Amino acid sequence: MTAARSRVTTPQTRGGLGACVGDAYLDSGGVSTALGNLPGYLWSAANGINNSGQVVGYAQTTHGNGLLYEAFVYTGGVTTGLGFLPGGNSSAANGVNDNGQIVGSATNASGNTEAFLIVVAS
Amino acid sequence: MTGLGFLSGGTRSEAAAIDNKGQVVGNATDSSGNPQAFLFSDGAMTELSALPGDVSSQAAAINNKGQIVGNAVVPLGVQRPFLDSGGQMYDLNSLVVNPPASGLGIPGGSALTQAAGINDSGQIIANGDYSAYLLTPLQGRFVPVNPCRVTDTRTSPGPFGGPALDGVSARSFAVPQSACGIPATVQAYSFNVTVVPQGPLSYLTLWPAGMTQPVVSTLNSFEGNVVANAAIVAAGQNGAVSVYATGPTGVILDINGYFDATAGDSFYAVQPCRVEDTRRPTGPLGGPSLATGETRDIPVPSGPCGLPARAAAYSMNATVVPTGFLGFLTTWAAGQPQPFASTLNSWTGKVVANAAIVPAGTNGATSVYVTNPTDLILDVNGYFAAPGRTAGLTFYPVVPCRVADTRESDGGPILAAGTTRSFTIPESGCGIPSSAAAYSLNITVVPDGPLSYLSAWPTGSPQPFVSTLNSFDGTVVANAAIVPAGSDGAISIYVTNQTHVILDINGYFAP
Repeated sequence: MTAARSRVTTPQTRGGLGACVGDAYLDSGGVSTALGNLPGYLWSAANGINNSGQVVGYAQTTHGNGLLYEAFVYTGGVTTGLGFLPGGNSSAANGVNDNGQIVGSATNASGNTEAFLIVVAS
Repeated sequence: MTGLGFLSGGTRSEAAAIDNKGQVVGNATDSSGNPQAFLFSDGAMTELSALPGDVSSQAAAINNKGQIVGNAVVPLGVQRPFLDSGGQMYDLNSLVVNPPASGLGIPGGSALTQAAGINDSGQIIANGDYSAYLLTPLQGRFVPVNPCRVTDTRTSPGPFGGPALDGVSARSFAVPQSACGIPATVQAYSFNVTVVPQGPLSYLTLWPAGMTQPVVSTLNSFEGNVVANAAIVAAGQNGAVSVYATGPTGVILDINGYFDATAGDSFYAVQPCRVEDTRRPTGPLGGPSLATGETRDIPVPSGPCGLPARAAAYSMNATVVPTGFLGFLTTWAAGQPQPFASTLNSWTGKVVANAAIVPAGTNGATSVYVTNPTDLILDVNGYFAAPGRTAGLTFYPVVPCRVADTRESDGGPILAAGTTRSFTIPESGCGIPSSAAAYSLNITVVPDGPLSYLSAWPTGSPQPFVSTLNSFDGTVVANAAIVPAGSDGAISIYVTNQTHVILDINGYFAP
C-alpha cells in the first residue's frame, strides 16, 4: 500500500489472540477452543497464527525460579514446547509464517534476551 | 532453536514476526541501549531507519510484500506508528485521510500511536486514543460522470461559491454535498481545475482535506491567465478536498468521474496514440478545423488506437491550436446534454493542452464544443471499461508527492534540447510499488525559452507521436498525464527544447 493512504473504518475492539490471560484459545467460526497447556505449565498465551492455523505463543511454568516461559507451537490439536537457546532457560514465540518458521525471543547463555528462529513442520 | 544475534554494539534482541520469505522483524538494542526496529534478512540483522528524531522503535509485523509496521518513540515519550513500504518510512498518521479525533491533548501527539499488524492486502491494525483501528488502503475503480461543475468561487458566496481564494488561506469543498450527486463513500475524484486569477499566480495545490498540505503543485499561471489542468485527488475528511493558491484567484472544479472501492470500471493502458487531429485532411478523425460555437462528435473507437467499443471512458490529452481567443473547450459523452463545464481555455490564443477523462457516449463517441475557431488534437493513453477477458487495473491514490525536480541539486541537470531522460518512478522515494502498471502524474515544465512540446511514454517502448504539453511562449506550464510504466517501472520524457521538468504523482494503477 505504500504511500497509499488509509481510511479509518469502524473501531475494532482489542483482544483476540495475544491478549488472553489464562489458557490460549483458538477461536474459529465463533467457537473458542482451548489450546491446552504444556504439561507442568500454569498458563499460556498466543501471539501469532499462520494461514494453516498454526498458533505460537508461550507458557509459564508452575514452579519457576522467577518468571520462566517456554515458547510453544500448536499444530493440528497438539501443543509442543519449542525449547530454549543453548544455555538459556526462557523463550517466547511471537510469529509464525506459512512455512512453519517461528520467531520470538529467548534468553541465551549470557542471560541476555536474543531473537530466535526455529523451523517446525508446517 | 537458533539465535539471530544482535545489532552492532547491542546486547538484546526480540523477534516479533516473520514473512514467508523468512524475513524477520523485531527490535534490538543499539550501542546506546535503546531498542531499535530491525529487519533480519539474508542472514543479517539491520536497523530500520524509523521516523525522524526517534529515540527508539520496534517493528511489530511484516507482510508478504515486505511491508513492515511498528511504532517509534520520539522525544517527550510521544509514540508514533510507522509503516515501512518500498524502503520508505512513513508516520501512519500522515497517510490517513480521515483520522480519528486526535491526540489525547498530548503536545505533538497524534491520533494513532502504534501499528500492530499488517496483512498482504496492506490492511493495518493500529492503536491510539484508547481504541483500536483498522486502516484499509484506498483503491478504486472509475465511475464516469458527465462533466459537472462542483464549485465556482466566482459565483455568490456559499460552500461551493465565493469567496475567491485570497492567497493566504486554503478553502475546502465537501464534494459529496455539491449538486453533482457524488456519493459520500468514494475514494478519489477526477477533476478539471480552472483558475481565473486576479494577477500572477505562482501555483495552486489540490489535496485531500484533513491532511498536511503537500509540497506539490497542480497548476501555474505566472502570467495571470485563465489556466486549467486535470487532477485526480483522494477524498479527504468528509469527502472534502482542499485548495490553496498563492495569489487571489477564482477557482472552478469540474468533476468528470470518481474512483469507488466497490463498483466501477478498470483501467486499461494503451500506448499513447493520436486519435483525432483536425489539421489532417477532412474525415471523421480529421479536419476541418472547428468553427465558432461548433459541436462535433468524434468517433473515437473507429480510430487506429485499439480502443474497444465497450470502453466507458477515455483517458485523453486534448490540445487546442486556436486562431485567436478561445473561451473554452468542453468534452462530454456523445448523446448526453452538453454540460456546463469546461476542459480547457486559451484566452491568449496560444497552444494549450490538458488531460481529460471523457465518458464514452453513443457508439463510443465523444462530443466536443468550442466557443471560437480552433484546431483540436486528441491523444489517448488508456480507457476505462468493465473487466473483460483481460483483467484491468485498479487505481491506488497516494499522498501527492514530488517524484522528480530537475531544478534541485539532487534532481538535475536540466533537460537539454532534443533529449530524452528516463525517470524510474518506484525509486523516487514516493513509495510507489514496482507492481504499478501506470502512473497518474502532473508534469510541469519550467523552460528556458520556447518549448514546442514534451512527450511522456513507457521506457523501452518506441517514442510515440503524441505530445503531453506545450509552451511556445516559454512560460511555466503543467499538465496531468497517465503514463504506463515501462522497463523497471520507468517512464521516458522527451523535450524539444531546454527545460526543467517537475514530476508530481497522485496515484498509480496496478492489478
